[in-house]
Amino acid sequence: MKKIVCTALLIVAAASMLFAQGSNESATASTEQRVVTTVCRASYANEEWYNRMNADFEAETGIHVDVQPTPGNDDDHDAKVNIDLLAGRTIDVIPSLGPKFYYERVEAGFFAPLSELAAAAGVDVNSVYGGYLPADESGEFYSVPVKQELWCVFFNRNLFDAAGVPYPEGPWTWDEYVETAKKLTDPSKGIYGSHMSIDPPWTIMLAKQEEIPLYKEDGTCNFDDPRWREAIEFYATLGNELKVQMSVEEFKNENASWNYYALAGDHIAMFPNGNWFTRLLNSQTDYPKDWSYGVAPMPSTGNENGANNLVSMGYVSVNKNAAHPEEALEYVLWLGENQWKYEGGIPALATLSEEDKNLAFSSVADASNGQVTVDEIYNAWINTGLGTTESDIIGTAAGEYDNIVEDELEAYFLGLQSIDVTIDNVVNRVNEAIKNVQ
Amino acid sequence: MKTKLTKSNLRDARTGYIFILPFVVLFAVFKVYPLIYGFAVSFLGRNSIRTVSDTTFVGLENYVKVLQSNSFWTSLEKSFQYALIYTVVVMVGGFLTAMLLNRKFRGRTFVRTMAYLPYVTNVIAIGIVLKYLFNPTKGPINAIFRAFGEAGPKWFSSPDLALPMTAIIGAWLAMAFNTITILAALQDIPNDLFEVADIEGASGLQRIRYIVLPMISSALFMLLTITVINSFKSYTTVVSLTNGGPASSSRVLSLQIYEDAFTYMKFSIAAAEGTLFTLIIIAFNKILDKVRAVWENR
Repeated sequence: MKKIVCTALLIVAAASMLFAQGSNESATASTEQRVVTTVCRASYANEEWYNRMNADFEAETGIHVDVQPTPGNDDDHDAKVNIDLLAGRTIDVIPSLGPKFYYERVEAGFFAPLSELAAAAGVDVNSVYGGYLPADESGEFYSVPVKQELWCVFFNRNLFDAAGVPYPEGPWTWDEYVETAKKLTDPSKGIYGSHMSIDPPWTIMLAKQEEIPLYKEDGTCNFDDPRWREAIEFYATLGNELKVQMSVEEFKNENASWNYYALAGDHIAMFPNGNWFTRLLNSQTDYPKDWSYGVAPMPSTGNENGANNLVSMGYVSVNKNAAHPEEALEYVLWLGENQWKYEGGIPALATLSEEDKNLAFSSVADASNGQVTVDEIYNAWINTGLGTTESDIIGTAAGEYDNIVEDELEAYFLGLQSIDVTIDNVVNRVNEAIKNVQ
Repeated sequence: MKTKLTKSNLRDARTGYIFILPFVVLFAVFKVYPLIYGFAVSFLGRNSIRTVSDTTFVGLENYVKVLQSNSFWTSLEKSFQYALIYTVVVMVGGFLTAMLLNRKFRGRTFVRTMAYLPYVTNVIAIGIVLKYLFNPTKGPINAIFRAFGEAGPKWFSSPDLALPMTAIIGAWLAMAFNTITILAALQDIPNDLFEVADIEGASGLQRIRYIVLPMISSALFMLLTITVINSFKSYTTVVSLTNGGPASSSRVLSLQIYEDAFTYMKFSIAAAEGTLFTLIIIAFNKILDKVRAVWENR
């Protein structure tokens, strides 16, 4: 009897699963909705602009955007996306924020070539994106730029007002930045004039601005160029000798993370970072604060070749194994022209109408509730008189290079090793990493 | 002598195979296959995102690269430091806690439950709470030091303390298993022996040395083997507390293997590191087996 009851239950369970599956399929078939799949960092999935952007795309094109968020930090996200690509998954659209893995993904052949597809779709990509299009010598490209992230100095207006120091304006140099930071630093009140995270590019900022090569001509590590050492020593001086910002030890004790300035900017006067940080400073919900921020252009090194701002590009690509290639192309081209309108970033478009320029910067200005104006943003991000150079380490074993620099410099900043040992360790470890991937 | 297979025996055997089938299948899929696959990958040239589909046989090249790299030896040294602290704390702490819980006192059941709690609590959650408790500037523990005019240790942000602290916390999380096992072994010791010891006027230490340790030595050796193996599985604890920092001071080999594989996509290098690490752990256990054999045959 027991046997019969068990068998009957199993049959019912199996049948219900079968019919459940069938009904789902028929539901999908009946609506025949076009779908495009993509991945994003978990933090994006909860952002209002991101969801509104995808909803508008769906309303405009009838294509539903199925977003698969990845938990964890940026490294976790990149690792997950890389593994997905390696495993041949059919997710349609792949965003690459920052160039750390972008070039490797292109070289690995994970992305579909887009030149013919875009032309067939009637889009003249060269006139739309101009020099921002990451095309190779043959004119082929595998991604569409959706934004550029330019650096600036965020500052706390309240601390400047209290200290009677005029707000910073460009053009200015790092020497002037330090002098300003000194005037604002007040140890008795726990106020620091400056804050710079302990990762690259902050720790190697000056050499990055001067475009000192990371690799020698033979492909080995060029970190023994004296300008890298000078840049590192400059960073160390700020915290250890001049004490205009937290020392690395204090930084570690504070558990200061990537969003520290948005959390604790009430006692920090200036903070260089990418324009994307306005999203945090404008969010009273996630980062409530009782002080106002301003924006200033990045200082230059004062040397002839150091008048550069840092820039990081954001790209979207179509997976070569995409399950919905047509929808993916449509989504990618749409993002290239529209994402900046929602995210409040700087578009990577060849030409911008006055109306678009106003829209690009007014969305940030409006969200700031009067803390920054369109003109201030334009002058701090675009109208700086500075050239641009990549903020990230790009090249062979770039991800490992970045982490090695971070590790070894941290040991130097904590007083565990000399600058000579630090430079030697970086060169040896990076050369080892380069050798391992060759 | 051959046993004749009756219908009943066959049915029993079949039932037995059905019971172990889920384990065998899962073990084969999630342990044996990855182990063999990882070993095979260690001989290929898959060391970047570009060459991940590469099936070129490179022989022992990855092993040579690993053995010549400073980072491997440094991480291995950190793993041994972690393992040493972890094993000592788990073995000694587990034994002392078991001795304590073997005594009769009010609230013993509650204390036993509390002692077991860390073992079943999520490591990441514990990491978040402990990082707050031990925060040098904001945490309540250093507030006690500050009340006495001292800044207090830097705990996880000190290069000298980060690894020992992580190992001690890892040990505290794992100690309950040893405690419970030793407690069970202690309760198996016949009371007569202790009564004789009392009559002979043996001290507490003499009772431990001449009665307790010899009587539970089998359990202790079994626990030592498990503890040594577990001591090298430090990835979760290290990631949740220090993520290998500061300045690589707590970067153990398991963390390096993970990063080499999934952050830098050097799958073959990571596979070679993993294979070498496995061989080292096996060698360690062989040594422990020898020590146990010598101990038991003395």
